[in-house]
Amino acid sequence: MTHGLTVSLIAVLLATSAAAAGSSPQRGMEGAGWSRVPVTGSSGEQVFHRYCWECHGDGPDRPGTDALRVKYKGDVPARLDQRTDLNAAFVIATVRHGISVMPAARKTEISDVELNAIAAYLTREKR
Amino acid sequence: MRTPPGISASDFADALARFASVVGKDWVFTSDEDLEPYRDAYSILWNEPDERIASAAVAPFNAEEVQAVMRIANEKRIPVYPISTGKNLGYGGAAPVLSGSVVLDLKRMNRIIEIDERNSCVLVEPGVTYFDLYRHIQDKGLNLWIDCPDPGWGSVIGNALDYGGGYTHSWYRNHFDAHCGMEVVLANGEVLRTGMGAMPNAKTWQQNKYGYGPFVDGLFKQSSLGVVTKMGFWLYPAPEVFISGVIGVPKKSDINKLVDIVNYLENTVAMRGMPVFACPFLPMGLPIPQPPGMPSADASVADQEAYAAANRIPYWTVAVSYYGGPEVVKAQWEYTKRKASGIAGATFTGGEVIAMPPKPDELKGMLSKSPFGIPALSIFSIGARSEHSDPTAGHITCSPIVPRTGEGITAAYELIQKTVTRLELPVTVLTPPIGCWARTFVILIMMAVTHDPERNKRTRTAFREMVKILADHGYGEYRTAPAFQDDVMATYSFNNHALKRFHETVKDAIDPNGIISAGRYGVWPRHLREKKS
Repeated sequence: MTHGLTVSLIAVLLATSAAAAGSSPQRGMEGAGWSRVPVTGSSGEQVFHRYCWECHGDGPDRPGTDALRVKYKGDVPARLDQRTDLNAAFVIATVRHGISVMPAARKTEISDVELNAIAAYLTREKR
Repeated sequence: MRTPPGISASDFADALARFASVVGKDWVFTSDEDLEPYRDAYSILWNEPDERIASAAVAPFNAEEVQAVMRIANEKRIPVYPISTGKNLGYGGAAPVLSGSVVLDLKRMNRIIEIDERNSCVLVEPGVTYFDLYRHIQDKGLNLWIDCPDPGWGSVIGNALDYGGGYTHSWYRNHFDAHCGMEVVLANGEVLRTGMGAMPNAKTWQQNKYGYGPFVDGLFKQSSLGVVTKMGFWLYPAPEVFISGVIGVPKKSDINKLVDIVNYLENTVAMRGMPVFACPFLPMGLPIPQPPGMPSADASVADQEAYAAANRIPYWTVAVSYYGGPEVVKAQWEYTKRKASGIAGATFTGGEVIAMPPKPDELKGMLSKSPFGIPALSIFSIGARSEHSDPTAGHITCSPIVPRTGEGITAAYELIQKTVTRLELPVTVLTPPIGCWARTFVILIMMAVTHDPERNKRTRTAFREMVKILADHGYGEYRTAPAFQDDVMATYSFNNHALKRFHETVKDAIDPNGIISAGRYGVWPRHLREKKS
């Protein structure tokens, strides 16, 4: 027994479970996996996983990756860490100003050193 | 350089220099570039003259530095606005309520001071996020769960102080109720500890909430009376197994009995997971295509019930869940089925026992990790660009508390649907009744924020009217964005606003210079009340 509207609402809205639509929560949709990279550490990849991966990581239930997939329709990878066309200034400006529902990050959250490491990691293919 | 209202540039410069001598010059922010992230990202006043903007931000490292900053601010009459992680999105974010305030950014205070596995409690600082606390418990291998709201990057303290809610066992998903003991820095820089913490060398600060004498912790909920620098919380001893089942009922009016049964189960401790009610015929508003032929929210009940019967879907469902030992939760699910089987046509699905914690491959098949106290950010798919909707610039939420009865739900949705239509509110999401807190539901009416001042202005006008209409019918907001905090406080008006006048009396006594969070939740210090009148 399924009902599209109810399943979708509960999935995105209450973030509880598919149970409301009549199935147990262990059934049904694909879910997200946890980052496999340690979230401590100062490398660009580690800092990216610490602050960005929840939204811009791999798999479904990643609002950032999902939004970029819709935006670019396959012209560029939906995952930021697979892009080769980013430049550091753009990454830094986006983090410090925010975009759409992503709020800006303060220096008390992501320091300049950490942000530079993220930008370097996301532009590593260009170097 | 911006200055706080009523403060000269030279006095402000002097205060900033003294703040820098306390926290270090790297942690005093005054440039437009550094203050940009302190704007409310979801402000319904974006780029308008009334947008709430900070004049500076100061980021202390510990409670002693908070004390020193407060002493300077109190002496110089500098308005300050404490934030924990600044992620109160939709309700103000990192921006002050009073423009020109100095944001006291507590994010650097991110220590998990003490965690006690045997008594299941923790003492944290304001900068600790749900992700931080979850990872700490995982790294230490402790047999504990947290309860988290949808966005995992929020502050454990900040969310509790703003009365946030979560998704696990009812003792823990009311985050303010789950706290135990506070450390608070007052406007004059004095520090106090509540509950057992008022006793030097207390051995039970995080075990006994009440200590001795009047219970003052509530003064610091949604408050402008102090800066909370430490707070204790009761954590959930990890349950062995989890069961979720679904009860379906065929008729609209069956909700009356169904809510009563769920309430009975919850209030007799037979079911302590969060009940999740759903109905395909509620006036939703998410931009998701409905199945062809499905009656709309305003179709006749007969048509809706006929559609539900023909398509073998219940009119209402409630997902019920249980945490504990396998023998206990299996019996609780059987008991639930017996109690609900008195509703004609009731159906029951689910009920499989899942060992806790869920394994990574089990989580992959699940819609959400929240019922297991695992923080995430997947909720931000609401408002982000999707196949069904353009990206928004955030949201504001009208969030009335409604009674925990079927009749209460029905009446509230009828009123909301009628009012949303009449006022043309730009609703992006209207939730089912959410049972995160015992004894009531909350309904979230989310509206998109844009960067178009004219559209935002129309939304503000309609939002204020909605708040008033809901209040006229006895439904109060539990929390709101700064642009509406005075409007909501005005609805709590019993006996000529006796509660607000009491808040003002307390405010003037505890913070006589009115320097902390002026205007927050509609409470203004004396000098600004006089100015407004």
